[in-house]
Amino acid sequence: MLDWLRKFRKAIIVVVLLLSALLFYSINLRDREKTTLFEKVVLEISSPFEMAFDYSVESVMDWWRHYVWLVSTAEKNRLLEEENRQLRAALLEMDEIRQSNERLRKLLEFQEKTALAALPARVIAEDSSNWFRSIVVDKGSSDGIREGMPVVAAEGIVGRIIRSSPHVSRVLLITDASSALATLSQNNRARGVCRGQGGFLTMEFTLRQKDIKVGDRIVTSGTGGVFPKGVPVGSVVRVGRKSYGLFQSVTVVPAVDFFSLEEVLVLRGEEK
Amino acid sequence: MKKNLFMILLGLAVIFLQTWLFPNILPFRLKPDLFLIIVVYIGIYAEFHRGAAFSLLFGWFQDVFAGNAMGLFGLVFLIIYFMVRYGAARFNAEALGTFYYLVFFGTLVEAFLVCFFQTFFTEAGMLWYVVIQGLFPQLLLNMLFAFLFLRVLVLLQWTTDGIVPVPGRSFRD
Repeated sequence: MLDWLRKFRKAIIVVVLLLSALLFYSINLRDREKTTLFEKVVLEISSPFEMAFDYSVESVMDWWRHYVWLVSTAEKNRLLEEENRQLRAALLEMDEIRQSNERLRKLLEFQEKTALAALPARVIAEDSSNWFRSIVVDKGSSDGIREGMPVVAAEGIVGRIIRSSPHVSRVLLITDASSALATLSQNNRARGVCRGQGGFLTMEFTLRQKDIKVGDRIVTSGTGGVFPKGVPVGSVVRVGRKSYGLFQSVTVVPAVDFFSLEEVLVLRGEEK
Repeated sequence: MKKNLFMILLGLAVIFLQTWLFPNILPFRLKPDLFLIIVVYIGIYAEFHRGAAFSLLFGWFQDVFAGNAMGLFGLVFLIIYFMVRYGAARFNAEALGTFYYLVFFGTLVEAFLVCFFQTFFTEAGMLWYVVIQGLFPQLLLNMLFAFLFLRVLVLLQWTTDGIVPVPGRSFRD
């Protein structure tokens, strides 16, 4: 027996390891809404670096614009040119502040409109794989964030919290392939389920006799139990109706531009 | 002990690169799969047990920041690690071409396994569509970063007096 074990030691280790990894994966699938201790530890360890880099990039850019750039111009150009550039730098900075104010104002307006208490958060990192769509925000369970809470931006729905450690959380975007939300067309109230397709969404189970047109706005229906009713999801860009079948195929472009998402609101369950 | 600590720190550094740096500097927010490249490398050079343990750990690191199922990449990277070891024992593993081939092959296997496990064990929706759409750029990026990874290893080989093995170069080239 011992000889047999010794002979197949490597093969046994391979099988045991693979089965353990598969078991770990399947156990976690059952408890998907729970953040494991391992995840909390890794999220907490990595978040200070991500936050620090995220915040410091703006300072470095500022320093670059205000110091390095001006020193080099002073060496090259006359006083007028320097002044001109200084003004342009100031304009750029003003523009950045204006854009930031604009975004925050929209968020604030949204926060005032919604009946649920909202917590603003900043996007600090993204999904580490190209196959999935998620982001990391700088607020966690110590700020009252729990798994399952909806996340929105001024333009519309963003996703929901899937992992939460004390100071950071992960948000599964609505464009992720495993994401699905109950929606309806704002014009004719046709219902459907919007599923993520990476860069866009498809609205499924929409009855083919419902008249959905390109340009129609799609909003959350509030029936899924996660997202509040009436939050913009996106707009219809393509409608396909075959001559047979119960449903039509509707392609929806999300209202939120996920490439330039910087601030979000996490909607907490309780009323304001 | 030092080696293990170095590997853990390397894993954390890769997380930072994957989740923060690459999405900010590469177009279309694309990112290479550095963990996969490292798993292929340790599949060729690491001791059997240590390599398996770190493949699993790096997979779990990836799981914390990717998708919504903890354990998926742990399992996928472990399978890739065993496949690389199996392949490395049969080919000339220290040849440069073999390394690139294994990274290329590993990317395809990773894409297939992610789709397979997510489709058969969870409600994955149209994940296969997302994966197929992004597979070609992912292959290109992984090959490019495998090349850069080897450049970094060559530098390390010089500074460590040839201790770090590099595919395509003898230990004291």
